[in-house]
Amino acid sequence: MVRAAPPTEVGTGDFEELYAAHFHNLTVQLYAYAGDMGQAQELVQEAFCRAYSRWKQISTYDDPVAWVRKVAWNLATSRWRRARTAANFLRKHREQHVSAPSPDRVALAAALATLPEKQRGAVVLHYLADMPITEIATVLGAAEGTVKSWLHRGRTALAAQLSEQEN
Amino acid sequence: MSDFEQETKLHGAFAAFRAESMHDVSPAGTDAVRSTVRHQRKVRNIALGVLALTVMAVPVAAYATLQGDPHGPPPGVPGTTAPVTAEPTPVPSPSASLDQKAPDLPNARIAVPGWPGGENITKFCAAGTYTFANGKVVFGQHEGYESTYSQDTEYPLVRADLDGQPGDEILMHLTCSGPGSFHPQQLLALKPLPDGTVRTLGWVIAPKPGEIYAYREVSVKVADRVVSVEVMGAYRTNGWYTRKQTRSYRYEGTAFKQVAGPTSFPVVPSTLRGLDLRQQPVQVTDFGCTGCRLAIVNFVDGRGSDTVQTAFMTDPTRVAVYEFTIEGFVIAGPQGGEHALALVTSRAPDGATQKRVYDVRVGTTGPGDEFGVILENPVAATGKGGVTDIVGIKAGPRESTVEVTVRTAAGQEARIYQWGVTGSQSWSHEPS
Repeated sequence: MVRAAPPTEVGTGDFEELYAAHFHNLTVQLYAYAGDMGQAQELVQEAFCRAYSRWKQISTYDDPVAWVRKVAWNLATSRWRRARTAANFLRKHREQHVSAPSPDRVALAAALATLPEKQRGAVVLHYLADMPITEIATVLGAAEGTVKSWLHRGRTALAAQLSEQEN
Repeated sequence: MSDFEQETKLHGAFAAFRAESMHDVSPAGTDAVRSTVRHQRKVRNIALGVLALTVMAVPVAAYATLQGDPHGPPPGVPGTTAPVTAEPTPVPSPSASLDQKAPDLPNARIAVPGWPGGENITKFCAAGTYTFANGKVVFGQHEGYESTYSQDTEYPLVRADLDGQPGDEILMHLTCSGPGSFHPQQLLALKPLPDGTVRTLGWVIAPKPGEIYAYREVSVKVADRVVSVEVMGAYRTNGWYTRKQTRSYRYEGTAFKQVAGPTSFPVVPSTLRGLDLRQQPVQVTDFGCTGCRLAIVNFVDGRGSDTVQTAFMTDPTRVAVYEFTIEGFVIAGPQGGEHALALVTSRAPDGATQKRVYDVRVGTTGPGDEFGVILENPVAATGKGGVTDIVGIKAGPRESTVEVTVRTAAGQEARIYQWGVTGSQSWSHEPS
């Protein structure tokens, strides 16, 4: 949907709605990708700040949240390039007095953390953002065939990891 | 396992992951977005102003050089003013003796005591004497990640007498960082010595062995050698804090001991059923405080307040006291679980009041995850959507609905909000 006219000022209800509707989902996606809930929230917040400062333009886009997701994803990729085993760390360092996620969540986070960065990104966008291959390719800046390959290898590795943990 | 089974299993695993993780997300809110953008624009404008001054200064300086002007640019010309980026000058403690050398804390050698936390924190945040550089020291590697201690410079150091001896001691916020969300922080007391070094007195917040409490940096105060601080419960790597208690500690010669305040936290509710919201510690998000993230309010008879911290940590003096009053609370269910809305009035330091109808959530997501009660995602607020007042809330005409009576320019109207329309995990306003 393309709006007939851009809003005359920033801070309209559209932005509020976009934020309310997508902040949680985007944060969970970045959390799955990078393994850090607090930083995922900060990066999504930063992405929304950037959207807000350009809201006159972005509000005219067909899918403003795609822009926010792309920015947040870029921020995450650049900032956490080395954060490969964060979730694995979390699994191993559960404190008795630290609130712990459920075993299933820990298992999936740990399995995700073992995937190469690109595969993990493709898998997260596919399963958590429910995005088609074409959109994943846009977010990750790769060819569709490459994304298919990442997705195939990622899901196979994930399934194997989860089965291994069950046994 | 067939491809179909594999795909089904993965979809199920991710769906559960998403459902559970959603509860841990606590948005800073759109007010924070607006204030951040305003702040960034202000900073950018200042930077552009400095750049403009620099551009102007270059030709002036060049002119002076080429003309051999022994006096340089005349007074008042840009480029002759004091450097904009002057280094901050350390301010010595008023009570420090004149011949005492002020410690250079960001580059000091500091003895970090053993952390009182659980086995893994103690193991990961290693005790030892470390030489900091620019407030940070990398002291180890762990599974490919650097282990670091860093001095929190976002808040000013607290200097006060802690040990009864001449001279003030220093309270430092020290963070132990590893990968992921692992950033426990402790309040460390240091005693400056005449030669410019420091001696460690110990951790101030001293709960039982095996525990580290998260605390609010801005709340740290000292009076008569007693350190008071708001603690929020055991440190954890996920979720947000919903409780606060003011506890006081005093240095007793070898270690800090708690001398006032509660010694334990009450169990947080795990369900909305039977919840007395008016007598609860509650986290409130999105309450109209520009640049603030969240408030923790200990409600007593429906009233409470909080000194909230600013999101702009570069300006540590920006704290503000907000007052809150619970005007109404409705539990709607049981379809799809328990859900509730609360009508809350907030009062800003300038006296401005706003009303909001919040989604009420009990953030317990599993054993040990005692996140507590959270008010978030307002479905209605004065000043938004033409709402000038919110008169009240009550149970709606059907299960999982709440009726909110608002006032607009067109008059008073009853709005029905329903939880979980078409499977969503939120409240929806039914069109009238």
